[in-house]
Amino acid sequence: MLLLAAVLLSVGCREKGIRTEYGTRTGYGARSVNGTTVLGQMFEDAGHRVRSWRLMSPSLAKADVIVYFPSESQPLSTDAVAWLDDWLRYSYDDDTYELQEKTLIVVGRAYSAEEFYWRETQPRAPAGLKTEYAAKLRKAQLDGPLGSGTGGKGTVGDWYDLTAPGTTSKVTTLTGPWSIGVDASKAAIEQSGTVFPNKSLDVLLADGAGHPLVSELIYSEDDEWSSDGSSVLVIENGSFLLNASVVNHEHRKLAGRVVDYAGAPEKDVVFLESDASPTISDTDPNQNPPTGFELFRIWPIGAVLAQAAALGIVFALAQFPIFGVPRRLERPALTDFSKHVTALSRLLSATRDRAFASGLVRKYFTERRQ
Amino acid sequence: MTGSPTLRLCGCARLRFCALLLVALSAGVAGADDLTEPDVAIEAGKEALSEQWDLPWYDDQSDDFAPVNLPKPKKRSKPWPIWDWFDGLFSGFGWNFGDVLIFLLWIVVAGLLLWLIVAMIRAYQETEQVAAATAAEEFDAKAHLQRVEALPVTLAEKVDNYLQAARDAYDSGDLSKAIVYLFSHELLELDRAARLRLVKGKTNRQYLSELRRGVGPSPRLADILARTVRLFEAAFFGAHPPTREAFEDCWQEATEFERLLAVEEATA
Repeated sequence: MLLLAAVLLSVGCREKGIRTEYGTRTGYGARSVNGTTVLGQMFEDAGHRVRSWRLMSPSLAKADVIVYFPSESQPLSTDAVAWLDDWLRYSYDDDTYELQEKTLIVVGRAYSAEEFYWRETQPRAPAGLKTEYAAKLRKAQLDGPLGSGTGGKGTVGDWYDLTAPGTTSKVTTLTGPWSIGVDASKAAIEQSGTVFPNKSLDVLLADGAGHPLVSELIYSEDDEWSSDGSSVLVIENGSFLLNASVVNHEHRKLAGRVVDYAGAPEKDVVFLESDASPTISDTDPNQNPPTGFELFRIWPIGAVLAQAAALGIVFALAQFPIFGVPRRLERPALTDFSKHVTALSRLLSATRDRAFASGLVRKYFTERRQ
Repeated sequence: MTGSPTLRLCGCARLRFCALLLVALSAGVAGADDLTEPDVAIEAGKEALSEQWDLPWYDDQSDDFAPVNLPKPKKRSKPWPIWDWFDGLFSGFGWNFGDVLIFLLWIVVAGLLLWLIVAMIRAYQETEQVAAATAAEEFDAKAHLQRVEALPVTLAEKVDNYLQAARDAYDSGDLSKAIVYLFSHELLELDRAARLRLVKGKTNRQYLSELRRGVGPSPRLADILARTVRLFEAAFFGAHPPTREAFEDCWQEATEFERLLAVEEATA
């Protein structure tokens, strides 16, 4: 037990520090500096209903706003783009059959708030941990914006082109309508020239060199069947939207703009938590309590059940072979006189003649006495 | 009559006024949440951060980053340079000595678990074996008792081993008792080997006949039993104890009897 405790203790020690999971709003990743919990909370506080989803399924199609932080810097799959384009253009209200306006917010992956956190906390590092803080910063800088991932390049629908992240640089000047009231010198927005919006998109925010940081595309009515007013917001990266980024006041102003972009309150805002190739499904996963074998796939019930099953298999194996000397079946007693009486009475009853039977018995006893 | 429409109009006007007031109020509230306003957005961000109660890296009092705790560097005293040497051994695999130690501990835990399972299975086997052996002994004892009860003779004293009892009686010179014990032994053994069925009331001739013409006849065993029967009947019913030579002949044949029975039992 002591050994086990020591092992658990040593494992627990590794929890010190910060979590860095990217783009998650719930679960363990909610505490991550790269999470989207705070942005989701801002949406909620603005009066929207917020939830997270992992599939492109009917449940996601019901959303009014999809906030998509792909977990890898790869072009979205063709199927995913087609699904989103279809959702933006041809979403109908189930009751009124009227076209609905949808909003898609896509945020590029080429940023990690880990370096930002360690850089900001260097001056406040506890005494005795300054070296560790410096080492953490160095490691975050070495890992770069994608951590252990690699960046791909390609075209994402009619929206933007994606390239592998170049050298990351701090944005010192902001231009565009969204730059009003934002002091770039106090912000820590970064860009690595990864997302290049299509020329048809309107730039809402750009750096001093004109590289778009936030762009929008408002869909116009192509035909009578398509939506007029759906929009796509393409954001270079999450350097002003991720959990740790929102600590900066200038970033909050831009995050507020993004939340405001969703429109009037009570929208169904869904954070799509997936890689660049989300699974597309015609049905939603079953939300009912899992039964049978499905329970094995749920942590920690699965772990407990697996051990119970293993114990059950061991027990079954222990029962299966015949261990030890086989038992002997008891032989029928040959000296039990009552069996003779029973057999005789069965024979007599087979005659179905009570008088005959009793007469025979009487005769037996009479002759025996003589 | 003229007053009532006026009153109704007033009521409608009041309702309209209230509705407008509500709209104006809600518009005012919405205006307060206008996130395009820098100050509103800053407050909204602070509020959203403060509502996350488990962010170790954020201090909602100062509305700024909070330094997190990190594992303190391990200070190793000079007498432990071997630790670094161990670390170096496994650095090629991306492990340090602590990782290896934890891995080994897990192996030990797994081994202990395996040992526990094996020990449980063995204990279960032993329990089953003991239970089966006890049941077999009880069954044998019960069957033995039934056979003894079915013997043609009823003995006063309790005997566990009739062959040994026959030898003891022979040694003490009581040849009548010795032949009774030897005969009982042979009958019991024949019944145990299913060569005949001991039943109270059967005559010795029936036993011999059963042995000669029953299922799997054994003429030689029948001959041996017949010799013993003759001596037994003379001693038990006729009160003529067997001579020492006659008993010894039977005793010699008892050895062959055992051997034949064992062979036939093995080949059955």
